[in-house]
Amino acid sequence: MRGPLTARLRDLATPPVLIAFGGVLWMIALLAMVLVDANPEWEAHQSEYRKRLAAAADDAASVRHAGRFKVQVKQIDLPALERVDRCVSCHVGIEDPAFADAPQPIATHPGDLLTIHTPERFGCTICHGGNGRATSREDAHGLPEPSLNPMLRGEFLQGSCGKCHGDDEFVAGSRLEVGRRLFDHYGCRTCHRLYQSGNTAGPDLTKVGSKKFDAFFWGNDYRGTDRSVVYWLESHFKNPSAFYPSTMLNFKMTDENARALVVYMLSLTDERIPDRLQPSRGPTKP
Amino acid sequence: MSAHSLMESLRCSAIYRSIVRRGPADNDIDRSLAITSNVFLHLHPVKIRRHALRFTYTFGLGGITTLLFLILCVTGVLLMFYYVPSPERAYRSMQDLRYVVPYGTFLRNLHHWAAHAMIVTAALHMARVFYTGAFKGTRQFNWVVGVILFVLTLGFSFTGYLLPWDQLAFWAITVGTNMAAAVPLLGGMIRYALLGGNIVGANALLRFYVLHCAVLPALVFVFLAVHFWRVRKDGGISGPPLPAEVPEEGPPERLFATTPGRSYALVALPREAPAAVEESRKSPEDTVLTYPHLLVREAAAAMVVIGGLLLVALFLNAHLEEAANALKTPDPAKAPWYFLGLQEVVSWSTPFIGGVLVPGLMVLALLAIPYVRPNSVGVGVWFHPARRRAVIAFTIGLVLNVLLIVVGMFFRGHGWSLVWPWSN
Ligand code: HEM
Repeated sequence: MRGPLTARLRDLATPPVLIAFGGVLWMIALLAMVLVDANPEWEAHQSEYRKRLAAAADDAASVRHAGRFKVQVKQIDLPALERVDRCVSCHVGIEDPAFADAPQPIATHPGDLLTIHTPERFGCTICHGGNGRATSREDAHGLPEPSLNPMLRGEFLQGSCGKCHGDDEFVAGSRLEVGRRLFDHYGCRTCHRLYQSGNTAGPDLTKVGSKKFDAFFWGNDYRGTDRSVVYWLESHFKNPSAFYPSTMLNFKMTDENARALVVYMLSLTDERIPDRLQPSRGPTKP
Repeated sequence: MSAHSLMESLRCSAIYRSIVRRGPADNDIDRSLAITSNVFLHLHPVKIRRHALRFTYTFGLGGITTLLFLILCVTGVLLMFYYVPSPERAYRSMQDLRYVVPYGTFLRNLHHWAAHAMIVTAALHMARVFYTGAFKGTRQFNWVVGVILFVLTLGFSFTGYLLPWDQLAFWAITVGTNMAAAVPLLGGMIRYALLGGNIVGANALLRFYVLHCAVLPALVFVFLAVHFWRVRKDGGISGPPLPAEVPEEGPPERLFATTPGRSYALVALPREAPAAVEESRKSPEDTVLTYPHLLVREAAAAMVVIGGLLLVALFLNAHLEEAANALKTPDPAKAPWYFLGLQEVVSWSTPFIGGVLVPGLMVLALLAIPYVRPNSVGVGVWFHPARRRAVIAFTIGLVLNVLLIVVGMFFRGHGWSLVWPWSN
C-alpha cells in the first residue's frame, strides 16, 4: 500500500522538519496580517484631506491646525440615539467650508442643514441611513443593494425628516409634505391603519418605514435585480399588482406622486428619538 | 562572545539555576529532571513507551484538542475585553470588533474556528480511543471522563453560539432550547432555567454568557485534570501488550548526544503498580525519555496546528448576520451544525424522540461502552479483529450521525424541504 512517495513523505515528516514547516506557516500568517490591515480606505482619504489642509494653510494658526490633524478612525458617539457614526472617518471635511470644491468623500456637506442639525448631536445615519459603525465604504453605505441598512438617496432622504418632525412642520411643497397630503387625497386610511385611525383591510402602515427589503413580498415571478424597499414601494403604488395579484386599488399614480408617497412611507418608522432631540414644537404624531 | 557561550553562561547563572534547578539536559538524569521538576511538564511521565510516540496510533488528537482548548481560553479572554452581554450591546460589540478593534476580526475568527475544530478533534479523539480499544482495562473510567468532557465541549459551543446576538445565533438557540423543552414533565422547567424566562432574551444572553465564560471553563479544567491524571495513573497511554522479547528496532533517533546517566534510579514503583507500569518495567529498553522525544513531537504538532489556524482565521471570516430579531423567523431555522442530526430526527418524528430520547440514549450508550464487555482483548491495536462487531456498530453510529448532519447542513431549504445545496 505504501508507495515510494508516501514512504518518502513519511521519512521527511520528522519533528524538526514539521516545526520548521509550522514556523513557515506562522511567518506567512504574520506577513499576511501586516498586509491585510495595512491600508484601510479611510486612511487614504484622510491623508488626502491632510495634504490639502497643509497646502492651503497660510497663517500660523492654520499651519498648526494642519499639523495637529491625526490620521485615525474618527467617530461621533451618539448614546442618545443609540449609535456610533464613523462616516466621518472618510467624510472628514463635512464641516470645513474650505472643502466645498474638494472631491468626495472629503467634500463639505452641501446646504446649511448642518448648522441646525449639528453632527455632534445628530450624527449622520439618523438622516442618511446606512451602517454607521462600519469603516469600509461598502458596509457603511449598505452595498451591494439590496441590503439591510441601505442609505437613502436623493429625494428619498426627506423621509428621515419625518422621524422627528411632526406633520405640521413639513416644509410646504417638499416631497414629504406632498406625500403626506396624497395619503389623505387617495384615502389610504379607507383600507390601511396609521397610528390609531384607519381600517384593517390592508396591512398596518404605522411602522412601514422600518421594514427591510426582505420583509416585502416580491412574488414568484420577479426576476429584476433591484430589490430595494424604495423600488418595491414605488412599483406597488404605480401598479399594486406589480409583484403579485393585489386587491389594492390602482390609482394610476404619476411617477412623481408615487415617489412622494414613498418618501412619506419612509418617514413612518419606529425609531426612538429622545425628547430633547425633538424639534421644539414636538411632533403631531400621536 | 559567541551566541553559544552566551547561552552557556546564562545556563550556569544563579538565577537560571534557581528557576530550572538542573544542569543542561545533556544526560538522562537531567532530562528526567526536566520533566519531574517542571509543574507543567510533570503532566508527562519521565519515560514513555516507544509505541506511544507513533503518530498513527493517536494522531495526536487528544493533545490537539487540549491545544485548541487553551487557544480558546486565550482568545476568549481577549474577546471578553470587548464583549458586553446585553441585547443592546452584544451585536454592537461584534460590529466594533469587525470595524475598529485592531485585528478584531482576526481575533473573533481564531476563536470561532478553534471552537468548531475542537468539536471535530474531540469527536475524532473519541473515535480513536474506541477503535484502539483504549477504553478497556484500567482505562474504563477515563472513557467516562472523556464522555463528560465531550458533553461539556458541546455545551461550550452551544452557549457561545448565542453570544454574537445575530439572527443565526438567536434562532439556533431558539430551536436548540425548544428541543430541551420536550423532556417529559421537566422540559418546560429546564428551558425556563436555561433561558431565565420563556423566550431568548436579555436573561438568556446573560445566563449563556456566565455559563460560557465562567461555569464551563471551571468544569472543563477540573475534568481535564482528572482526565490527564488518569492517563498518568494508567501507566501512560495505551499500547499493545509487549512482546516477550524486546524488538530489534533499536533506539529512536537521538536528538541530543548521550552521556551515561540512568533515569530509572529516579523512579520508585509502588508495590502494586498498575499493569502498564509493570509491563514497561519488564523491558525498559522499549521506553524512551519524554524529554526530548515526546516534547519535540508535541511542539511539532502545536506549530503546525497553530500555523494552520492562523491562516484559516486570516482568510475565512466568521459569519455575522443582521442583529437578532424575535419577530423575523428565518426559514429554515437551523440548530448549530453538531445538533443538526438531532434536528433532522425531530423533523421526521417528535421533539421528544429527536430532542430527548435519541441524544439521551446516545450519551448512555457511550457511557456504557467500557462496561459492556469488560476485558482487555485487543487493547492498543486499531480495529482489532476480536472487536469486529463493536467496531462495525460504532462506525454505523458515527457515519449515520455525520450523514444526518450533512443532510441538515446542505440539503435542507425552505420549510425544511429537501433541496440541492446549489439550488439557492
Ligand atoms: C475536551 C476533550 C478532550 C481532551 C482535551 C482530551 C485529551 C486527552 C489527551 C491529551 C489524552 C492523551 C492521549 C492522546 O493524545 O490521545 C487523552 C487520552 C484519553 N482520552 Fe481524552 N480528551 C478529551 C475527550 C475525550 C473523549 C470524548 C473521550 C472518550 C469518550 C476520551 C477518552 C480518553 C481515553 C480513554 C484516553 C486514554 C487513551 C489511551 O490510553 O490510549 N477523551 N485525552
